[in-house]
Amino acid sequence: MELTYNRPFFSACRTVERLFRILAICLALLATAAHAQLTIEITGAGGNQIPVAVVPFAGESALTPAISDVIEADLARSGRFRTLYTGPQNLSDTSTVDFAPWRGKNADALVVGGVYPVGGGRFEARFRLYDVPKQAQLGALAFTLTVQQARATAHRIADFVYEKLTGERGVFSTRIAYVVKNGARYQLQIADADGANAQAALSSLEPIISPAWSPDGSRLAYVSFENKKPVVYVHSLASGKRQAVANFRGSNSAPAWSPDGRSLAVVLSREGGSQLFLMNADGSGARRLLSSSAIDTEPFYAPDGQSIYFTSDRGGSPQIYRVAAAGGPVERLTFDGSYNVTPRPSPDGKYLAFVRRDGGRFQVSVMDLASRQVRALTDTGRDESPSFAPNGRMILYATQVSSRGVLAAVSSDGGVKQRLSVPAGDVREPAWGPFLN
Amino acid sequence: MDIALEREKEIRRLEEVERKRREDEHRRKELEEKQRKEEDARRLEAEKKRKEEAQRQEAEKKRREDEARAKAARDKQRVAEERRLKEDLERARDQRLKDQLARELGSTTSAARTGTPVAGDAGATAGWVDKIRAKIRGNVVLPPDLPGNPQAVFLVQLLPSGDIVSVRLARSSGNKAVDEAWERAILKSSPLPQPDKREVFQARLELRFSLRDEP
Repeated sequence: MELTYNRPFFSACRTVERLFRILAICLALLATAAHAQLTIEITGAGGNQIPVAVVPFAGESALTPAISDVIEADLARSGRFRTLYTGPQNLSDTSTVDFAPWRGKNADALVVGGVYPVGGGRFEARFRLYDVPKQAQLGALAFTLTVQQARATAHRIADFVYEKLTGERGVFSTRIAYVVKNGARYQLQIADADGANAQAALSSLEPIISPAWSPDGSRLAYVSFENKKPVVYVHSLASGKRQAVANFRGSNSAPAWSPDGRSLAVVLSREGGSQLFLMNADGSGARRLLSSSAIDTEPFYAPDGQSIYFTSDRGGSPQIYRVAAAGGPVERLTFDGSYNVTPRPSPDGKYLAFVRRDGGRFQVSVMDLASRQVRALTDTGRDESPSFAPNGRMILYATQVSSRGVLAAVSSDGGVKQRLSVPAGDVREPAWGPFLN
Repeated sequence: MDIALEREKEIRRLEEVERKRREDEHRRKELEEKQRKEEDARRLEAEKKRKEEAQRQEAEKKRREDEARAKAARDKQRVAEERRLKEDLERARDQRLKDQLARELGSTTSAARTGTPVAGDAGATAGWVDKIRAKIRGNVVLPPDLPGNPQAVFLVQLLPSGDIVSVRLARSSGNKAVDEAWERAILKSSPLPQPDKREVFQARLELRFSLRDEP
């Protein structure tokens, strides 16, 4: 009896002992594995567009436009995403996601969400962003919105997705300013970065040119000919109030904001010839920056505020120069070709976009300021007014299609080009606004 | 004296004796018969018992023999199983030792660059590395115009099937989105290609990513 009782006990002991032996072997293997590991170096990338699936939001038919459509269009337009066809899915922010089919579609990221009425004509839009290969949530947000805010909400979601996946801020919620000529009427318009949702800030029967965003996005400086001569105005967008800040004898043109928003660089001819001046943003304290017998124009501050880029014909042809904001010696930057104008430094200060005439074509080009290498970005022929997106990824510019002005955008590496869908009219003088916090 | 009477008496006495003798004889025979019968019955009974005992013993013997046979069979099987298990373990250990040896030889030669290839394993390792690099690189999605040259190191644990068990970021590029893009590329590449030669397989990989070649 005792023997039969003991047998399983002994066998249990043996089993435990065996387990320990196996454990010991495993540990030994791990120890050796820790020494031996294969190192593989991987350089470069197989692609540069992140495959992302944006599933139609549950209940989004209550809003126009559909939020997922706007997100998808934003991401695709950036050139940094490849949007995947999802088809109808029974998926929302409250669903448990089965990642297998999305992995099958080779999606890197998945956006799901829903729109829920919360009463009083208001809605809540909620979404989740998933990393598909990792099968993990990258983030989630909720917004309360009115019917009118559907597009703005979608842009904010697209910004979130963009930033999570690229590490850089998205610009889908930023705004652009441009001038539309319709018949005899000029309109300064402000629209979403995709050209949608346009609103007029100013209408005039005389030309409006050179809009420039204040660094905080609350004001626009521009030149209006409404008094039969060019005068620089600063226009507050929230109140619609505006003030003539440069209305001197002769022409007043080409305003540019200092990065701190306290100063404006302008071009005045009050002392004969177009010359660069700096003044306070309220128009006081105008002082001449440079003295030359040539035409100096199109000033633009470097993002650090330390220097000012400008166009001058002092060398016999229009070329781009740079001078310290405190004044001093002038440095010529462009030498290639007989016409290089409209300098616009990138937000990181490393590149300079400008318009270059090559043969009979005017093209947006970019100079790497470190190496001074120049590259044409566009293949259109009548480009003007390049303007960097605040994240430096895209350049907005005006060009002409069948002698009508249209807006176009090109990625800063020239890889992605697109036309902005601004409604009919002759569109010119675009300026991309800053990030809004 | 009456002789006749005496004689008559004597005859009757003799007859009585004879009768008594016969009675005794009869009784004795009866007793003997009874005893014989009893003896027979006892013998029968004993015989029967003996037979039964024999049968029982026979059955018991058979049962024991059966049991013994079954136990022998079981024992044999267990011994065989144990031997097989032991052989498996030993085989695995031998293989691991061989693998480790191959690895150590491979790494020494590649590190020392002695130029003496070890039985083609260095070539097999290089081929495997190329296959892994190609698959993962094909799944890396990064914008071409990222500033600088971000670099990161990941440690990856593999099963012999090539399936990725774990991915650990050992050194970040400093850009979370770029790190995650590389991690996605690794995970999307599971299962990784297997080496042409099983011996060169290694369960731990160190993946060193960089956006572009150093100038």
